[in-house]
Amino acid sequence: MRDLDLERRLVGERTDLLGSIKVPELGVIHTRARAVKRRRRVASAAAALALLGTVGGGVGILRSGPATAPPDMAASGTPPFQSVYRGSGLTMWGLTDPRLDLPGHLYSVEFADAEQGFAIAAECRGDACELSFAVTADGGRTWNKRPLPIDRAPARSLPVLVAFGAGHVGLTGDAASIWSDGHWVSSDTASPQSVTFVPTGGRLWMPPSDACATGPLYVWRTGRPLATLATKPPIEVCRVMSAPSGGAWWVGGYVNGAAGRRPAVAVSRDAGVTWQKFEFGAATGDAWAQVSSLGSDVYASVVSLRDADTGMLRLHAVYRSAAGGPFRPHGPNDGTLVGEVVPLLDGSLLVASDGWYLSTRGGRFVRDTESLPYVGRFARTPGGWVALDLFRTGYAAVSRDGTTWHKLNVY
Amino acid sequence: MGGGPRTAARAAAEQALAEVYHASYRRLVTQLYAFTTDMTEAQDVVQEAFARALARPQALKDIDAPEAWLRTVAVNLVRRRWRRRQILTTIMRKERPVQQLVAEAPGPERSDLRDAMAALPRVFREVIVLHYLADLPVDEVAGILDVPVGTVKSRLSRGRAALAARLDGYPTEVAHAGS
Repeated sequence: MRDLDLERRLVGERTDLLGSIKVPELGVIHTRARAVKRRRRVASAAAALALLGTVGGGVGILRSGPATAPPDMAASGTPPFQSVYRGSGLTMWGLTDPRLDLPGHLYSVEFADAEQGFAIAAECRGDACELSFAVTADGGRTWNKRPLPIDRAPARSLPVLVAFGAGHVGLTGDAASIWSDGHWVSSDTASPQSVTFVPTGGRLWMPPSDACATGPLYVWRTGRPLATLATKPPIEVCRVMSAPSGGAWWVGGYVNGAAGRRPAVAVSRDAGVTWQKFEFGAATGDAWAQVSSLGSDVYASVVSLRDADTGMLRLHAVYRSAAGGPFRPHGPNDGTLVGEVVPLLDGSLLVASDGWYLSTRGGRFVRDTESLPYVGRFARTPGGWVALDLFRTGYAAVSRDGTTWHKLNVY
Repeated sequence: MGGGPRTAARAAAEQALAEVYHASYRRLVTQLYAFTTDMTEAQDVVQEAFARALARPQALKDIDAPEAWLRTVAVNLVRRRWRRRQILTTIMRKERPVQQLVAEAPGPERSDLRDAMAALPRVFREVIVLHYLADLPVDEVAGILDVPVGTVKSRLSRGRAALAARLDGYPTEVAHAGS
C-alpha cells in the first residue's frame, strides 16, 4: 500500500514537472544551431591550420601580442543568441560568441578593473595538470590565449592569479611572476623585500586558504618583485580584501585575548603603515571574520570552517559599518556558504551554498528556486565579483554589483 | 534565387524537426533531469541537442528514431560536462555539499519529492526519474542506461525503498523492503 502511495506521488510529480517546463520559441534553437555551425567551421579551420603548422615545421600557434589583438575565436556576423537566467531579482546573461574553450576547467579568474581580466584553467590527469591562461581587455567578452611561465603543475598546488593595478596580474607558486605589458616577468619570492606601505596600484594579499591559515601579508607591486608588509596588523589575519574600500585596506581574522579567541577585523587608512582593529562577540572557538564592501559600507562576516573537504563555511553573524560608522549586526546569523559574502545594493546579502542564497528582511537565507544555475563560490577581485563553477561545469561569470552577472566567454 | 529542390528539402527537414520539437521537448527535459537533477541544465542540454540536429544537413530526416537520437546526444553532453566537473572537483578539492543548513522554504518548482530524488544515489535516481517521471517502460530505461532489464527492475525496487526512507510519513522499514 505504501508502495502504491509512493507511486501515486511520483505520477503526480510527473504531471507537475511536465507542467512546469516551458517550451522556448523554436527561434532559440535556430540561433543555437547557427552557433553550432560556426563552432564547427572554426574547428575545421583550426584543424586545417594545425595541419599546415605541422607540415610547415611546427609554427607555434599561441600568440603573445598585446591584449587588444583580435580574439582567438572568430566572431560571427549574425547577432548571437544569449541565454538569460533570472531568479530572486538577480540576472545572469549567458554566453555570446566568440568563445574561447581552454582545455580543462577554469579555477582562478581575476579582474584588475572593469575591462582587464585573466583566467587560468587546468586539465588534470591524476595529479598532473596542464595549465592554460587567457586574458580579456573588454570585460570578459573576448579572450585571447597567452603563454604561462610554467605549463604544468600538481593538482594539489596549482598557482592562482592575483590581479592588481592597471591590467597586471600575479601568478603564485614556484614560478611566481607578474604579467605586465603582454609578457611575464619573474617575481622572486625566496627572500621577499619588506616594504612599509602598499603603493598606489599595488595589492595587499595573502595565500588563499579554505580555513583560517594565518600568515604574513604580501604586497604585489607594478614592475617590482613580490614583497612583504613590514607592519603586522593587530590581529591574526585569515583573509585580505582584494581591493581597498574608500582608500582603506581591510583584513579579517581573529584576536587571542584573555577572554579567548574573538573574531576581528582591522583597517589601514594609510596604505598599511598603521592599523585599527575591531573585535566582535565570541562565536565559536575557531571562528574568524572576513570582510566585504559595497561602496563605503563594510561588512564583516563571522565564519568558521564547517567542512574541510568542500571549503564550506558556517556563517555565525554579519556586522555592517555604514560610511565609516560603528559595526552593527546586519542580516542573518546562521547559514552556510562557500567563498565570500556578496553585499547587494538593496542591503541583502548573497552567498553560494550549493546554489544561490539571498538574505531576507527576516534575517535568514532563502534559496533561489527559479532559473539561476548551480554556483560553486563567489570571490571578490579588484575589478568585480566572480562566480565560479557555474552549472558544475567550470563556467564563470563576473558582476560589478552582485545583481547582474555576465557569463565569461571563456571556459 | 527562388529556391530549388534543395531549399524545399531543407524546409521540409526543418518542419519535421519543429514537429519533433513541440512533441518531445518536455519529455526529453524530464528524461535528462534524471541525469542532471537540475532543470535549468536539463533544458540547456536538450536545447543544445536540438540545435545540433538542426545544424545537420538533413536535420532529423535521415534518423529513424529522432527522440532517441536527441536523447543520446543530450545524455552524452551531460556526461561530458560531468567528467569535466569531476576533474574540476579534483582541482578545487571540494565536492558538492551533501547537506544544506541554510533555512529554505520549499519552492514551487522543487517539491519535497524532487529534493528526495535528487538526494538518491545516482543509479537509483536515474531509473526512478526515467521510469516514473519520464514515463519510459523498463526496457527503454534499460536501453538508455545500457544495463539489463533485470537490473533496472532491481534498482527500481531499491530506489523506491530509498526514496520512501527520505520522505516524511514513510517509516524506515519501508526503506529496507526489497533491498
